[in-house]
Amino acid sequence: MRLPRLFRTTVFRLSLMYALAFSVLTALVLAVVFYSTQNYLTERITETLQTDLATLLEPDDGGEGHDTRDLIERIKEIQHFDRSRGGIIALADQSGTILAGNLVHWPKRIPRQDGTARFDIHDSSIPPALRQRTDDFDVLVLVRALPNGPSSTKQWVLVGQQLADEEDLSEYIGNLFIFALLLISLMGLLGGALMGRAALKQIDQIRSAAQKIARGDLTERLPVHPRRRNEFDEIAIELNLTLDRINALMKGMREVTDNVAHDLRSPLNRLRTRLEVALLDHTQLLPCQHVLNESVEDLQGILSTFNTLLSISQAEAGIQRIPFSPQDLSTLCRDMGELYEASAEEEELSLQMACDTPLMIRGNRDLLAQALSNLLDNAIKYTPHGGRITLRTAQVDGWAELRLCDTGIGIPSDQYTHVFQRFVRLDTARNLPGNGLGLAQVLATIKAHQGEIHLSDNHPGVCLQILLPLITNER
Amino acid sequence: MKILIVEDDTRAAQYLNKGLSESGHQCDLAADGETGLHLAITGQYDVLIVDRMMPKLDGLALISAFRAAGKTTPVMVLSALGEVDDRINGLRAGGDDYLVKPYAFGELLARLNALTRRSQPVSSSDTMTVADLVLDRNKHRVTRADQRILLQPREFRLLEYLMRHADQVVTRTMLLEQVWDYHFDPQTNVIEVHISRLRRKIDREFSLPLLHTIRGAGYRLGVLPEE
Repeated sequence: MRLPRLFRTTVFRLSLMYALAFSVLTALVLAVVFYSTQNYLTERITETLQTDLATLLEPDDGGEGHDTRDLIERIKEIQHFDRSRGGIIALADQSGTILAGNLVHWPKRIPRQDGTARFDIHDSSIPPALRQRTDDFDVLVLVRALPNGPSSTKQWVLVGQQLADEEDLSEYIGNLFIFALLLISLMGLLGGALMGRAALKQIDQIRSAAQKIARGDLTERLPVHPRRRNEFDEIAIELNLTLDRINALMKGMREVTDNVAHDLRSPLNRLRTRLEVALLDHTQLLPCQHVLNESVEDLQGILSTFNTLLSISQAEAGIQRIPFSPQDLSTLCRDMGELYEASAEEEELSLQMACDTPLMIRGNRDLLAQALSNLLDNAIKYTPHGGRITLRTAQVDGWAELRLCDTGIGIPSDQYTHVFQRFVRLDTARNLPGNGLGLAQVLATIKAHQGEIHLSDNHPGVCLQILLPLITNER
Repeated sequence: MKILIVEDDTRAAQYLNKGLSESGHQCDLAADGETGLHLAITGQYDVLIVDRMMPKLDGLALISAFRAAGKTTPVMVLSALGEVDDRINGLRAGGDDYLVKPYAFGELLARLNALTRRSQPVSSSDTMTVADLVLDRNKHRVTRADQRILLQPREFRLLEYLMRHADQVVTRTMLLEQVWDYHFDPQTNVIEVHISRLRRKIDREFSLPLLHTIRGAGYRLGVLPEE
């Protein structure tokens, strides 16, 4: 399965990566905030507990030592005034038995030694009624050994505070983090999608231009924004320069070919006329009459090749100069089919036609006829006796479609673009007459008509599809 | 025939002159448009051969001026392979036929003959006869030695054209243009096949062949002169 195109763009991926990086950073910052705040809170509570303990243990008379009964009284007092604050207080003997305070028993996890410790609020030592809230949080306790009495009768005081506030803080920070994460991800996605779409739009423009170029229109250029000049524009400018160069080279090459054809045409034609005129002289039968006749025919072949070459160049170059008028492709096909029916029959081929739907296109009748003639010519030439040629026209999505299929020797699919080039003749066709210009002329003609040509396998033989834009009902 | 050749390429004009003279015609040469127009209007010619591109006065302008002077002499326009609509412009300016260089001399000769024949009043009769071959345009009927010959519509038009130009050489391109109304250069013998079919129908069962192939030029319908 492939992701939709937008999500595969580099810009979108970069945005996501940024969003992820920002999320991690946010998490780090929040964690630092959380732990330092927690630390601060714990310190403050510890301080309070120390003050509480100091107050508790401060002797009334300023003398040394503690009277246990006195202490129990005080604890009860504190307990009484301190009910609502959720403070924890306990006095235990060495064995852990609670002598006074609000604990059920000495918490198991808390060792009896001086210092601070934390334990869970849900510990069985804390009576449920004492708990500030039912959810989970810690209790911070301060333990102090009472210095009076021998070690066997040592007593322990414990004061503590429930840390529900800390829990609130972590929850708050947690929520903050989730919110920030959502916001960053959303911004990342949205920003990525927006920027990705902008990039895609430009890429699509470049791509459609590139496709036109690939189809052979070397005059097409990649779009460049007049002011923006981003990295795509820079690449487009570079590629356009390359295309200019290629186009100039191609043009130069064509011009050389055309000039050769053009310049050789006149002397060759004079040569032909001279031979023809010499042959006209009936008074003397020339000893080499036969040779002369053949030479005239050869010259005819050369000149016709040159003519075709020049007319291809014209069709390619002078798209605007060719006079177009409304034509019915089906009528044209029927006419040409009828013209070639006799030739097909002569070669023992069946030529079937289905060209009944009127298909109005804008075109040049003679150029289209020449193209169709080349194609029918090929079909007849390359289809063995007993074969079948079908010529059909139809309307396909606003296009006029012409399909010409034969059961001939076919064209290997890797040669589909190659065969439309000038002077290309496949090995299988070399022993048959032809100059290799027929399909080049067809392609030039169809391009001049803003059409398309596609080849496909007919098992055996080849199917050729030509699409030409239909005349739309314009007012 | 008396022919005026207006062509700035003097070597081409000389070959043309030589060839036409060999074929029994008499030619005058003009090397530019102005001289050509002057000769054309003052002289008496059967046909004019006018090059399309010329110094001083362009071929089409020459023809327009010539026609404006009320002259009806048929004009053959010659042109280097140019834009596709040259033919249409050439004919619109008043030319009667159009030939693209390089052309075969035989083609030019055949077309000149067809042009001058066309300019003569065509018999208004609906039937045409060559030897014992009769074509009735009204009844769409062809007979030879009173035997009915069945032809398809296109074969009928082909024969009609050949009979109208009986005893003249008609070329393959002339047939494609006049019978099929297409102006292009078929690479193969597509016309030849139609001719041989027609020949089978009108000639096979008769001793005297009427439809002849002229090597390197085209076809001729008629009885061959005995030499």
